[in-house]
Parts: sequence; structure tokens; C-alpha cells
Amino acid sequence: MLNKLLFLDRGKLQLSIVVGGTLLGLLLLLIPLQLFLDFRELLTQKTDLLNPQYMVLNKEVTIMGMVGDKKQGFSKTEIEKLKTQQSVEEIAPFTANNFYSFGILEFSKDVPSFQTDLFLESVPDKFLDNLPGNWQWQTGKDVSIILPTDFINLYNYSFAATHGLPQVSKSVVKMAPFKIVVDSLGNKLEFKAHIVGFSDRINTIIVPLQFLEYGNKSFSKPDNTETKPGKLIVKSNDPTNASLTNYISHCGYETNQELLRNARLAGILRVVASALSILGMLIVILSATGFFQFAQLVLNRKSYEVKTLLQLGFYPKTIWKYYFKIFSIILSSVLVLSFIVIYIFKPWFAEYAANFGFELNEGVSGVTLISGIVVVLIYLFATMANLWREVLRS
Amino acid sequence: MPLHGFVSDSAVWNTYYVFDTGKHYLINAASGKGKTTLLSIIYGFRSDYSGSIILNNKPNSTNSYNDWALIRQNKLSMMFQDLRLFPTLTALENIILKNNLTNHYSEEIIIQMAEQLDVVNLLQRRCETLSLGQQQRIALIRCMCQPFDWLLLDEPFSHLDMGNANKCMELVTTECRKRNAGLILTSLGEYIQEGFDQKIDI
Repeated sequence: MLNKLLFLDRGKLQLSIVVGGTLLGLLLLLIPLQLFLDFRELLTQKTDLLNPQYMVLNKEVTIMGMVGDKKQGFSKTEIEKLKTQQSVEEIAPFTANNFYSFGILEFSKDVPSFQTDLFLESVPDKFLDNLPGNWQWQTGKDVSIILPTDFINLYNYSFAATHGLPQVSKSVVKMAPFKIVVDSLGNKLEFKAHIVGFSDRINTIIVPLQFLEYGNKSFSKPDNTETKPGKLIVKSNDPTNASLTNYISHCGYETNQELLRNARLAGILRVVASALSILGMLIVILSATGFFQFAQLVLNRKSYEVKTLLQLGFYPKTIWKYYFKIFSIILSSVLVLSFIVIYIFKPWFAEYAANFGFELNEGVSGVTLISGIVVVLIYLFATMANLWREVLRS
Repeated sequence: MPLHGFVSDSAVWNTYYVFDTGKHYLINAASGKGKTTLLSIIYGFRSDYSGSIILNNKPNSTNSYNDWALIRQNKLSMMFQDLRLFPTLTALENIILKNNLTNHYSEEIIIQMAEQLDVVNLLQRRCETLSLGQQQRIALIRCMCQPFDWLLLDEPFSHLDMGNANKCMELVTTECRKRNAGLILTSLGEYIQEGFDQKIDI
């Protein structure tokens, strides 16, 4: 009977409008939040094997390098000097293969197998993050390989597309049997290998250092004298440190630009996200005001009923509890609706973003869900605190 | 339990007055003399007065919201001059809503009271469709659906003919006797003048 008395007997339209408005407000907060979390994950990707605080340095390509001057590369003094720079923690050279090798990749009958000359490089394991457990190499074991993501992108978006071949996903590539063939003085030695991961930040093929050391010792071309490393991996606690970047450009070194681009992007993202979150907050406050006013309107319209019930001897608490129930139901419906919308929106958006080469997670993060719940609880709390005052005033 | 009041001018206002437990009072006065005000103050929904109303040795002004709810459920029952029925509920729903607070009477007894006042055929009709006289009788029945020490009736028969007013007065008397309750009835000085222990002019 309280239902008949205290809630809107008319004004279903108003209820729909307020539900719509609150839902919109909530979505405008939760969707940007979810996207921010997704893109931040993309930028600080833990899936990459190279931690963002590592950067790769090489010397600019000069005409001397083009004619094959072996003196190109970093000298010992240059490396020592780099070590003394601000924010540099550790440096290691890239070890390259000093022997002739090529790789064969076979997918299946439908996709042509690839055969290509290989350049292999290595860095000490401690410079690589998120390595699979079986990374270490020893004789008789498969050689693990990390490929640059660009390789697979080149194949999928340029080669396969123009040759009418099927595209392959990273997981398919990881399953494909791969062989490294080493040519040592005419003897061909085969090593089974498989691709264990991809990196956006290292533009080279990485194999375990043990394998390269073994290969260089066993199969080196006889005319090969020791070369200076052409590439360095640098661990820095702040790769965007101005003094460090100045020194690097002053010496004419090049760094992997991906890293700096990402650092810049992360900065832009932070600015955009904080602007969005301020906007989101304002919208939430706006929609909270709308809801608040709606609750007030319901009570004002029912002020005769509330007052009379109190005069008949109803406890203020009974009436308040009734409204608490009603507004909890409305707000939880809004919350559930917003979750449904987000769960529908997210995979759709992930698919859309995939067209631009962003691999977004399709799920909805816990932070988003909890934020939604917290916001709704604040709505409910503010509304009910006000209604308690209003009921007592009746 | 006596009801004490310090109130202004005349027999009641501006003086010390005691309403004795179980006695029936008739307050006769013309419009604007403060009959409704007096009942409103006793019933606790006006606090714009000086002085004090003491019920059961406790000043009204010290009651909390919950105290008032309890008093209105068990100690005081009031019929308002403007009746305060819910227009969208049926007559029976209006009565049941009040009765549910204390479960004082069964539905049979409610129907008996309605029969006694000739409104049993109106019970299923929405209150907004009833005449004022019919509404007054429904409101009177609603008043009876709780325990009380005092029954406060504010011009309860103003829209009733003599015959119906007598039937109502009979019900009021019986219900007060059952509870050994006091009665304060205000009137513009109409026909019902008998059966009171005391008449007050304010």
C-alpha cells in the first residue's frame, strides 16, 4: 500500500528520463576510464619483452659505414663515458652472429614457407623481461627466438594482403616450426628453433646469448677479427632525462624511437586522461544533481502523503526505508544497465581499435566496475541523507 | 492520566487546565477561537506556542520523532478537521493502513463499524469519490483502529445530518468506554451536546 501512496503514480516519463540521464552520466565516466586503463596497459605493456626503461643505442649510419668500415661501432672509451651519464644504470653490448646462418619457417601447405638469411643478436638475459622459462639454451635444446612485432605486421598487412595469403596471428607464429641452418665451411648444421615472443622495442632477432657464444666460437668465419659492438642496450631509470638525451644526440648516437614515442604518447595520454577525468567528474556531478532533484521531486509531490503518514503514527524510519528501497532499486538497475552497455561496447571497440593496429583487451577491468559501484553508492548516500532531512521536516 | 495544558485567554488558553483521564469534554466555540490549534498542539504537530503540554507527566516538547510515532499509535488518536484521508486509496485501504500499525482490530470488526455507520457499501470506493459526510465517517472508523487513552475529534460531524451524527456519537462513546479513554470533541455548537462530563467554552 505504501507503494501506491509514496511512489509516482504518474510521471513514468520522468522516471525514464532520470534513469536515462543517470545512465548517461555513469557511462560518460566509466567508458573513458575503461579506455584510459586499456590504452595505458597498451603503452606500459607488460607483454613486451623489453622493459621501457631499457633503450637501444646505435650509431648513425654514415658513408663510412656504407663502404664497410669495421671501425664503426662503439669503442670501449665511448661505452665508459656513456656509463657516467645521468640516469644510466647499466650498459651491455649487443652480440651479433659472426657466422653465416639462415632460417626456414614452415606454417602449413597453404602458406608458403619462408627462407631467409638471418642476423641474430643477443643481450644478457637480465636486460630482457618476461622471458619464458625455457629461454636458456644448451646443446640439443630448441633455440628460443624473439621477433620484432614489425616483422609479423609487415607480413600480415603488406605481404599477405597483396599476395592473397591468409594472415597469421602471433600465437600461430609461435606454434610454427622454425629451423636455423648454420653454414660452417660448407657443412650445414640444423638447429630446431621456435618463436617465443615479440617485441615492439627491439628491432632485431634476439636469441639466447649462450647460443650465439657457442655459434661464434664454433662456426666463426676464419677471416673475422673482433668487431666493436654496433648496438648497445642501456638501462636507464629515466630514458627521457634531458641531459641524457642531449648527450646521446651530441655524440651522434641513435636510439630506438619507439621508446621515446611511447614516452611522449604516455605523456599525452596522461594529459588527455586527466582532462577527461575532470570532465567525467563534472558530468557525474551533473547527473548526480539530476538524480538528487528527482528524489526531491518525488518527495515534494508526496509531501501530503508523507506528512499524513507521520501524523497517523508511522515512524519516519519506515518511510525513509521505503524510499531507500525504491532508490536502491532504481540505482542498481542503472548500474546493471551501465555494465551491460560497457560489456557490449568493449569487444566492439576492441575490434574497431584493432583496425588501427591496437590490440586492446576485450574485458572490462575491475577498477571500472568498482568505480561504477562507488559512484552509485555516493549517489544513494547523498540522496538518502537529503531525504532523511526532508522526511523529518514534514 | 491527566492531560495538562497552559494555554491563552478563556477557560483553556493562558491558564492551567487539566483534562482528566477517562472524562469526555466538549469544546464549543465559534470559528477562529483556536479549537483546532489546541488539538494540534496536544497531538504534537504544532510547536509554535509558549507554555507546555504535559501528557503522562512528560512535556510534549521533549518527545522525539519516534516517541511521537509511538504516542500516535497507542496513546492519542485524532480525527482531523480536514480528515487527511488518502484520496487514491479505497476507504477500506485507508482504514487498514492505520489498523496495520497496531493490528488493533480484525477486518470483521472494521466492517461491523462500517455497517453501524451505513458506509459498508462504500468501503471499496476510492476516497476521492466520496462525499464529505461519507469521508467523515470513514475517518472516524480509522480513528478507532488503534489503542488510545485520548480520542481527539475536531468537528467530526460538521457534514452529517442529525441521524448520522447520533450513530457516530454512539460509536465514539462505545469505543471510549472499551478503552476507558478520554474524549475531547470540538464543535461549532451544533446539535450534539449531550453525554459529556464537561463543556468548555474557549
